[in-house]
Amino acid sequence: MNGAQSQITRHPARALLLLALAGVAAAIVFGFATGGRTRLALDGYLVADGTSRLFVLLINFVFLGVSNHVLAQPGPHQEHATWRFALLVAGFMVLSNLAVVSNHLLGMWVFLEATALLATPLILVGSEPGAHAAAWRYFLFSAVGLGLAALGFGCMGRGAEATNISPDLFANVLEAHAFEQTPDAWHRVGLVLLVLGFGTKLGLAPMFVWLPDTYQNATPPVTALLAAVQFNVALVALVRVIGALRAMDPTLMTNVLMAMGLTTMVMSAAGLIVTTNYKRLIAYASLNHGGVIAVGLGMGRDASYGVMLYVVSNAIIKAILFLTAGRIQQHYRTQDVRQVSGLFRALPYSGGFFMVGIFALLGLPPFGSFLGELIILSELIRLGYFGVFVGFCATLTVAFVGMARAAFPMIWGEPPSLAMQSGIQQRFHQAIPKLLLLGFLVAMGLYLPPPVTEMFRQVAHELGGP
Amino acid sequence: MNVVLTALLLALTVPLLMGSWRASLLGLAAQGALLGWLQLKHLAELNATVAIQLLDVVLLRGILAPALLWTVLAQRQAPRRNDVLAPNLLSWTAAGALVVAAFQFANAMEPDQAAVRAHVAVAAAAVLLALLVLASASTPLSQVVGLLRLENGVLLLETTLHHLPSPVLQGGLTVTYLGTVLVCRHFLHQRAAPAATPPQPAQDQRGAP
Repeated sequence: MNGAQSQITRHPARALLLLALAGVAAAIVFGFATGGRTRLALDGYLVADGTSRLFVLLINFVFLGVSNHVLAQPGPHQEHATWRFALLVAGFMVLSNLAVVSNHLLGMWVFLEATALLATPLILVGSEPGAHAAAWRYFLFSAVGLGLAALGFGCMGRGAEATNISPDLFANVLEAHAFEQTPDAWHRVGLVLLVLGFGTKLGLAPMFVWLPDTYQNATPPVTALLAAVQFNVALVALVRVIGALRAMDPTLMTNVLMAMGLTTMVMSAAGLIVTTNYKRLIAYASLNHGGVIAVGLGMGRDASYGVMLYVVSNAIIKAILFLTAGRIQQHYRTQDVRQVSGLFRALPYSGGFFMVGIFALLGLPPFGSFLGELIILSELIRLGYFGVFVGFCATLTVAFVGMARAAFPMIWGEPPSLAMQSGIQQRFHQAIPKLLLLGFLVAMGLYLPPPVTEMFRQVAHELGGP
Repeated sequence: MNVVLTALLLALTVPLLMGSWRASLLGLAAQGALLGWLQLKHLAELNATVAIQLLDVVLLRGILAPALLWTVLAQRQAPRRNDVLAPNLLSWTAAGALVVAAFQFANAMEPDQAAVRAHVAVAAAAVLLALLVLASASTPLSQVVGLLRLENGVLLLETTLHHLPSPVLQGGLTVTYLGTVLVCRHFLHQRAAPAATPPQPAQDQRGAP
């Protein structure tokens, strides 16, 4: 491909990178210049609080890494080199940011649904054989899950009208009145449906079947956006619901979240043992993370800080791993773990990223995920959830064995013959996007600047923590 | 139970017994029209939200959505036969049991308000039947019908509420519904979309594309 053609196809990627840079700049201003207090805007429809500040920063930072990766990809990649792709991603990111800063639960729902509608054609981008089926599955589960969440809003509305309370869905208003309401059956049904509905977007049991297929079959940048951006936007939705409604029936909320979380962890552990596809491996690990997060959210209180550490750490890990998985597939021309070996020798940068990413995924120190899990486990003991603790530890052990057994042989050993490799060399500048993400990941485990630590504490406090 | 709700219940159940995609889409159109009829109670206080809601149910759900799907299926010369529910006694019994369960649910949730109780019962029946269709569907068309039935069921419950969202929010809800229908239409047009069933084990073992 000649230089002029390469230059033309890189314009959309450059535009995305510029958008990402603008997004990060805006996120920094929003996160640190709006002050530590909760502020409302647009008649209370938008909010600047700890949750929105932290997650706006997170998703835009991840987007910067992804857009940088798209621009730095070796050789022309037609599927990512189109204005259609750039516009879809830009729309996806704008709506994701709006969902995170939304204080109105129904408004947040609308933005989340819209991101799913834009993500569906993104999954179709590329030539993965299973992309069409995966996109359909993603869209269907997304629509049904959000439909159940909408049903939950309807039930909450019926409960509010039955008790003569205004059925406004502003999160701050709901939270303020949650202590005053005696939950009736409508509220309880609504609460369960909301958690079930938004939990579907996180891949929580019982509706998680879509996630491994989607993550496996989408192209690496799209998978990274789904795993690290949309996952966290859906998590913000769930966090808002929990924050607003937990006081209504804390026991029900805890039981539902813990049941969904633990079931998800068990199912994901089974998948990790069975799978021989490394993209699917990372997808099942993502399911596992969702389960851990749900268990932590179920406890609330002091576990909230650990949950936030875990969430942010894993968002970056997943972005690194899925982008690296794409590079590995490009080089080895396979997704089968049994046909990949000697990553360190064949692809030094990708081998390093993959190794560090797997270690972080396994919850090893010094990464933030290690500290997050430790906090969650200690809270399980302190609050007396011994059965959950045992199940949690057992599934984590199985997940550890499954991931390590599949991933470690990929990293070490002799690379396969040159005939089985693509021959495309990896250059340092192509590794810079992931290096940036990795730097932040390691920093999180070692030292967080006070303003960032304060942001985590604010979010934990909004979830019922100290 | 009034005439509209009775007609809605028929529009929810009868198409399930008819193994034709035309019947399914006509059922969706009838549901939209009847939902519009229910929304007419707000006509006295016509405002932007009510106007958008009426456009949503009558124009979008009652006419445009079924028409968009009808044209793509007619263009693709889709076979006339399409069972959203398996044509056997077990499925029909399950559907009947769910309708009964919906009425029992409404009795438990609204013991004091007879008017609302019937409305809630039909809404619950709509949702449960939609979930039954989704759980048993194996073709994209049946899954689309199940999804749109679920959307109608949710809206039916929301019509029991007196509080209306702001016009901007209502507009957003309408636009996302339209987006959902367009995505469904795209996948039906592709026709190659297999059913949303778990992948075969051989696909996982193969690994490489």
